[in-house]
Amino acid sequence: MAEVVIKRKDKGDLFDPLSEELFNESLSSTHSGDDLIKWQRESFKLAQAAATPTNKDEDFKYVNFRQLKFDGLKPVAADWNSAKQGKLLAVGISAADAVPDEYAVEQVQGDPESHIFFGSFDQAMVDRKDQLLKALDLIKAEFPARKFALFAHAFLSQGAFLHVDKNTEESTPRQLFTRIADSSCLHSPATLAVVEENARASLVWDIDSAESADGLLNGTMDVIVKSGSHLNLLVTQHLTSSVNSISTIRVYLGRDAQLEMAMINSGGKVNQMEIDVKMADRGSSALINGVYVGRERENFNLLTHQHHRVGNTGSDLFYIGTLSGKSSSNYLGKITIDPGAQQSDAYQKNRNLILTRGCTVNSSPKLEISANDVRCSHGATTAKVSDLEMYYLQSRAIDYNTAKVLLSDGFISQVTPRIKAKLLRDGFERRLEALLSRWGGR
Amino acid sequence: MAEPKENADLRGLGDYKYGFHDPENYKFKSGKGLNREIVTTISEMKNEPGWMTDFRLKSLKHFLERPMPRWGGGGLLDTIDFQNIHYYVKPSERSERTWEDVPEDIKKTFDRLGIPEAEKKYLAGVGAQYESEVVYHNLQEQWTKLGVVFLDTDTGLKEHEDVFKKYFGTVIPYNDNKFAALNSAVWSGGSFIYVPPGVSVDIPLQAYFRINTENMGQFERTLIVVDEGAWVHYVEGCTAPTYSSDSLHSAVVEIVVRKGGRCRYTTIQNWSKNVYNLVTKRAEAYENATMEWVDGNIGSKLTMKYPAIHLKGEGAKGEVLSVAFAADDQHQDAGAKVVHLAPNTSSSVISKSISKGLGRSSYRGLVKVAKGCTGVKSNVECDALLLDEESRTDTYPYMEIDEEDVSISHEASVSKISETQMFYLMSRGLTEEQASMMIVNGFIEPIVKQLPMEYAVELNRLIELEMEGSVG
Repeated sequence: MAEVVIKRKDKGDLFDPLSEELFNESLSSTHSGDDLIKWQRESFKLAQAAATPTNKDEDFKYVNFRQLKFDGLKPVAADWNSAKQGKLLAVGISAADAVPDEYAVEQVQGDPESHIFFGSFDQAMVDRKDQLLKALDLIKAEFPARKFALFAHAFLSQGAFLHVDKNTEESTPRQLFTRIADSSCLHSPATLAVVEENARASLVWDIDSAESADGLLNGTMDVIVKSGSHLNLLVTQHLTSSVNSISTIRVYLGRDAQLEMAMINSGGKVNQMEIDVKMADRGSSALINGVYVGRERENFNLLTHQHHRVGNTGSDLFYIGTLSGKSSSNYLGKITIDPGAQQSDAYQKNRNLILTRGCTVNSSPKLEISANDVRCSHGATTAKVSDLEMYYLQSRAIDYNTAKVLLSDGFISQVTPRIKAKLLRDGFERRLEALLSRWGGR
Repeated sequence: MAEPKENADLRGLGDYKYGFHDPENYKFKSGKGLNREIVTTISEMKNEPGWMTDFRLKSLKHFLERPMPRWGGGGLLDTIDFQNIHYYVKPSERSERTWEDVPEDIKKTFDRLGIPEAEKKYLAGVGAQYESEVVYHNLQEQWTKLGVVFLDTDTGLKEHEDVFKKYFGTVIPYNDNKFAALNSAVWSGGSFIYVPPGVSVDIPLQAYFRINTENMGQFERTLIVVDEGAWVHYVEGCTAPTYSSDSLHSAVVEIVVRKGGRCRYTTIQNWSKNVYNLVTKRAEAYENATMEWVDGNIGSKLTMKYPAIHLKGEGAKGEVLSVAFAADDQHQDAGAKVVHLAPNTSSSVISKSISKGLGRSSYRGLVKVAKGCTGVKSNVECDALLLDEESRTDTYPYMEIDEEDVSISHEASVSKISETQMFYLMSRGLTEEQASMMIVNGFIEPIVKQLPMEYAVELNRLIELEMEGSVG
C-alpha cells in the first residue's frame, strides 16, 4: 500500500491526526468489498462525532492519555495467514505455523467443520455476508459510541469473523494470533464472533510484539452470544516496551447465554483494555477473570463494565495484578443494574500487589444500582507483599528475591482455580507460566 | 397494599416539621443576583479589612470563570439559577449573647427548634445563624476563662485578625472548586473556634443554621483551630422552610488540628427539600492528631458534600462516619476524602445510605496515598440499603496509591430489607412498619451510636418520619 503517515496538527485533540484525508487514503488501499467500505465510512463518521474521552469523564478518570499518540504512525493493512486447517489466523509472522509453542491450543478431533465459519472479513463477505453485516449493526446499536473502537473499525487493518451455527458444539478453539513486528505502524484489527442459539465454542486471541517493534495496536473484539449458548474467550497480551495497545472488547449476551473469559495483560508502554459486557436477556451470565503483570514503566488502563440490563442475570469479575519497577495500573470498573433488573447477582473485585517502591495504583470500582432485590458487592485492595510471609519463607532458607517472586506468583495464580472451563484454564495456565518464567527473578 | 392507618398519634408525621417560615423583617436584603457590587456591599457593611475585600473579589472572578463540574449531582447542578438568589440577608444588627436580646420573631423560631433549651441542658456554647448573619452566640464562662474562643466568623475576623488571617483560606483555597469560590466571595456568618493547647472542651459546642426567606443563599464560613493536645466536639444542625422555589446553601468549613489534638465535627443536615446543599469541608491533621467527621444527610434536594481530611503529620488519624437518607426526588451525593500526606497515618470511612422511593444516594470517595508515606492503613466500607424497586444507589470510590508499603481496602455492598428478618420480626408481633424501621435503625446503628445522645434520638426519629408510610 502507499505509505501514509499520520501527522498531528499542533497541540490539538489526540485524535486530530486521524483526518478524513488520511482515512480516504488508507481506505483506497484496502481490498474490502463495497459493503465493508460503507461500514468503514460510517464508522469513521461516527468516530469523528463521538466525544473525545478525557480524564474529566467519570469513565476515563484515571486513563493515561498523555503517552498515547497517533501522529507519526502509518495505518497498515495485512492479510491473515491461515493454518491448522483454518483454525488459526495469524498476522505479523511469516507462516501461521510459526506461532510459538506456548500459544498452542488443544486440538480435538471430529468437530463438525461445516457448521462454523472462521475467516477474514473479506472471505465472510463472500460466504456469510448477511450474518456479518447484521452482527456489525447489532454491536453498533447496543454499545456506546467509543472513539477508539470506531476509529479501529474505520482504519481496519484485518477483520476476522467467527460464526458458529445453531446447535453446534465445537471443542477446538479458533485462534487469532497478532504479532506487531514493524515500526511506527497503526494496527487496527477487528474481530467479530457470533455464536448462534444453543451452541458452544471457544475463541483465543494472543497478541505479542517483536523486540524492535513500536507503534500502536488499536483493536476491537465484538462478541454476540445468542440464547442458550456458551462462549469461552481467552485474550492474552505479551507486548514489548515500545508498543502501545488499546483493545475494546464488547460482549452481548442473549437469553441464558454464558460467557467465560480469561485475560492476561502484560507489557506495552500504555496498555489499555476496555471490557463491556451486557447481560441483555434473562438468565445470562458472565464470569471474567484477569491478571495484569506490570514491570518497568508499563502503564495499564483497565476499564470494565458489567451491565445488567434485565433481571435474573449474573456477573462475576476478578481482576488482579502485580506491579514492580515504575509500573502503574489504573483500574476503572463499573457495575450497572438497570431499573427493574431484579434478582441480579453481580460481583467485582480488583486486587493489587505492589512489589517495589515507585509503582502507582489507581483503582475505582463503581456501582450504579437501580433495583433493590439484587446481590451486589465489590471490593478493591492494594497492599505490598506481607512481611510475615516473607519472614516465613526466608526462615526456610529461601532468599529474599526468590521469596518475593514466589509470593507474587502465588498471588497471581489465585485466578487460575476460578476459571471453570478446562480448555480455558489450561490455555491460561500455559501462557501465564511462560510469562512468569520468562520474567523469573524480577 | 394496606390502607393508610388512621392513628391519631401518627397524624401529621411524615411531613417536614421545620417547614414553617416567619414574616420578613430584615435590616438589609440584597436584590437577587450576583455581581461585584453585591460583594463589595457585603464587605463594606461588615467593615472588613482591605485584604478580605480583595479576597472576596478575587474569589468572585474565579467563580464566574470556572465552569460547572461535569461530575456528580445527576444533572441537578445545571438547574441552579444563580441570578434568582438573594446573596445577603441581614436579619438583625448584631450577634447577641442572651436570647432576650435576639429579635422576638427570630427567637421564636429558635424556640420552636428547641435550641435555647438544648443549650441549657447539654452544650458548652451555641451559635445560631439566621439567613446570612449569626443572631446569637454564647460560650459558657468556664470555657472563656480557659481561653477557648467561640465566636461568629465575622466577629472572629474583627477580634482575632492575626490568628484568623494565618489560617483562613489555607485549608480550602478560594480556587479549590466552583462552590468554594462562591462561598469565598459572599461568605457571611459561621463559627470561629480556637481551642488553646491542652484544653479539652468535653461537652459539645453547637451551631444552628436556619434559612427563612425564599430564594435565599446561605454561605456560612467556619474556621476551627484546635491547638496542640486540645479537643473539641462541634455540632451543627440545619433546617429551612419549604417553598416552591429553591434556595442554596454553600458553606466552607476549614479545620486545623495541630499536634496531638482531636476534633470531631458532627453535622445533621435536615434542609427542606428545596435546598441545594453544596458544601466544601476539609480538615488538616498534624502529627498524632485525630480528625473525625460524623455526617448525617437527611434533607435537601441535592447534597454534594465530601468531608475531607488531609493527614499531614506522622501518626495522624482520620475517621469519617456518614449516613445518608434519600427519599423521593432527593439526591444525596455524599462521601469522604482522605489524603495521606505523612507516614504511618491511618484512616477509616464508614458510609451507610438508605434510598427510598425515587431517591438516589451516591457514595463518592477518595483515598490517596502520596509518595513516601509508608505504613499507611486505610479501610473504606460502604453499605447501601434500597427500600423500593425504584430506588437507586451508586458507589464511586477512587483509590490513588503512590507508595508500596500500604494496606488499602475498599468494600461495598448493596442490599434490600431482608425478607427473613422481616418474617422473624413480624412473627414476634411487630407490624410491617415497625419491623422495617427496626431493621433500618439497626443498619445505621454503628453511626448513630457515635452521636451525642440527643442527636442520636433525633436522627432515629427523623429517619422514622421519612420512613413513615413507606411500607404496607
